[in-house]
Amino acid sequence: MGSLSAMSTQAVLERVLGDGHAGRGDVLHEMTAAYTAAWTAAAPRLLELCRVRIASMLGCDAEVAARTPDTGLHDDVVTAVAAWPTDPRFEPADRACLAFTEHYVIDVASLDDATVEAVRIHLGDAGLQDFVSALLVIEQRIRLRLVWDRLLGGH
Amino acid sequence: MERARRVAPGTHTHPDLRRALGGVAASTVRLASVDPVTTEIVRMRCAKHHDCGT
Repeated sequence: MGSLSAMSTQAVLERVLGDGHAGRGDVLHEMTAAYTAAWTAAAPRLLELCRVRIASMLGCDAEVAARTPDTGLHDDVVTAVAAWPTDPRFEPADRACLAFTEHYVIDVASLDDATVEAVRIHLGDAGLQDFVSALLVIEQRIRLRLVWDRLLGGH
Repeated sequence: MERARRVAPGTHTHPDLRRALGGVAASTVRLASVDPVTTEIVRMRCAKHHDCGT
């Protein structure tokens, strides 16, 4: 299939799922719709920071390097995302969502009430629910891309 | 393990995202190239990992 590692994640999805195999086109369509909806449902600034943090934690270089347009973020802030606990450029809502995200990636089942409540304080109930749902889309997409990189010729 | 609710009753995910997530799940389970037993084992393993009672 050739190297996938230099391709965008959307291009990887289209390459793997757009092969005409029965049903895969539907999955591609729905996954693309979910990704688009995630950016509508959650604040782009928060989701972009969390996307890049997830990518760096999971070792997905293509997603670390990618930038989502119109998030309002300067690139130097995005590249500094791992320093969010101490870097003053990160706002309280950023910190709450990034703390949640790191715990989510490491062990989602053990997310504690305080970490969740910190996000709810900033986003409200509906905002928390949308953020978590959007995070699910982002994380699954990156993990799936990494699996395909390994299995289908990314390295 | 039972947990208290973390969002208010009646809170719903953004309709576009809820609909899209349902679409991903539905289109994925319609795929037929993985046998049903393997699919179910993977589903149960994921549910356990994510602490999901369903």
